[in-house]
Amino acid sequence: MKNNLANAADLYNLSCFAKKNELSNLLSLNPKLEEKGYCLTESQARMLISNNADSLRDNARIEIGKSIVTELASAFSDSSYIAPAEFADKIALLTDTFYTLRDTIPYSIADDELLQAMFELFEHRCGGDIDVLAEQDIAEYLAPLPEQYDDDTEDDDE
Amino acid sequence: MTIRRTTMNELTVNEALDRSNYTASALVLLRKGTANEAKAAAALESFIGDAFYELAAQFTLRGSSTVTEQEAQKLLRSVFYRFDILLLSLKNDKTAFGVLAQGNPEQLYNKGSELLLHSFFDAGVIYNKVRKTRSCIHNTYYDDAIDKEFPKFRQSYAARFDALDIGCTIDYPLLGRDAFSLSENGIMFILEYFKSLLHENELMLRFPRSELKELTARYASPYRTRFSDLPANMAEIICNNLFANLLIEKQDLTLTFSHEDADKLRQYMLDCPRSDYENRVKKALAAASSSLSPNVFAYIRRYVPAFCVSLYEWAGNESSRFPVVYE
Repeated sequence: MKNNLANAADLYNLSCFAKKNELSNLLSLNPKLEEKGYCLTESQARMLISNNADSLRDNARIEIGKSIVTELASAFSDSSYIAPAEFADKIALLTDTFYTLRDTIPYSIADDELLQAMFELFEHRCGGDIDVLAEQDIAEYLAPLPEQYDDDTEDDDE
Repeated sequence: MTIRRTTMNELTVNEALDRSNYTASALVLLRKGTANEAKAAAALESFIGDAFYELAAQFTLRGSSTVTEQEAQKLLRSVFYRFDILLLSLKNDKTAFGVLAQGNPEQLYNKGSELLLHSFFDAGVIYNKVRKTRSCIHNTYYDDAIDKEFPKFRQSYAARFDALDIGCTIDYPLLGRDAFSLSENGIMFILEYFKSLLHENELMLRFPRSELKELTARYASPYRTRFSDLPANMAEIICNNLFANLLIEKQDLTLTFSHEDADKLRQYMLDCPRSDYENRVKKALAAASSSLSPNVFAYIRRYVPAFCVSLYEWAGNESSRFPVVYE
């Protein structure tokens, strides 16, 4: 088959729909972040947006919905391992990790579930180490519990 | 195909529409056209963007903010394909271009989606006819196309998210052309291929099994193998003999071609200008067409020029194979 695969996509530049309000979305998180001792400056927010674009490119992914950076910043503001001074840098690293892990799981597992799993592993299994988090078998962690295990749990409850 | 149009400032534009990328190439033309056409192009592009993001959201079950670039390519091509299938069904570049320039993108997209669905069912209907009329001559490539590749297509084709990928590989050639040389993509390729195969089956049914068996065995003999192992089109072997017989003025549609017939053909080729071959075959074929269905007649008539070229080649180069099988 000689589909000219590139032409259609070349003609239509998907990046032209890049979210324009990404910066304001990120900065609007600050009131919530400040309650937890964090803050994002405008330059840090711009750095995160730029890093997100690089991460997407490095992981050969295209953004089709709201940026994951805002969600990551919101979710990891509850972390006990991230110091305020390193918050933006850690979120940048977590963005890379998020896309790496996204590739390993099917779409039946939503971004929200992945984010929650990343946070749980980061806090309880990886000791706040992002490199260790990136090596986790996230698919296995998110796999449904075996039926046998469910039965046992029910027995225990009784 | 070339499209000629006059813009408001009397400028004449000749540009090509790429049949394998129909809507995308028409969109390029629209952008370069009149103010109204450029406006239509902008509206179409905006709609395509929205349709792509909606399709991507459906693909990820609305759970992911990203897709891989490869997935994005497939999804975007699937959006374009819905327009392609509709516009190509109009069978006229000018009409298709006009529809794209003046139509509502959403309506065109929805009609294309419906046509895509209907085409999938149509392909099943045609395939069943192909199976019912299949040739009695065994050929691995032909059998695989029918018994293995189409079922693979039917099982794996994802019209919604990956409309161009048919999920199978068809190697059996058609009359005068390789399967991979067809300009159609996706379900349109499957429809074109199996419609063609149906015409070829109908042609083959016209001849007794013994005659076809003998003809194909003779064809395979110089290759020192069985016909079943050759990637050769059965209808082409039949047509070569039919047309050669018509050139030497045999009245009926017959496959038998003797050494004497070969000598007559050589003499004819020496006596007549090359420009006469094609007309003579077409005329004789038309005269004998009552025994063929109109579709089969039209289908094999399209092969006449290619047959004549293979005769020229043979006449000009003795090392090339004589296209006719004879006793």
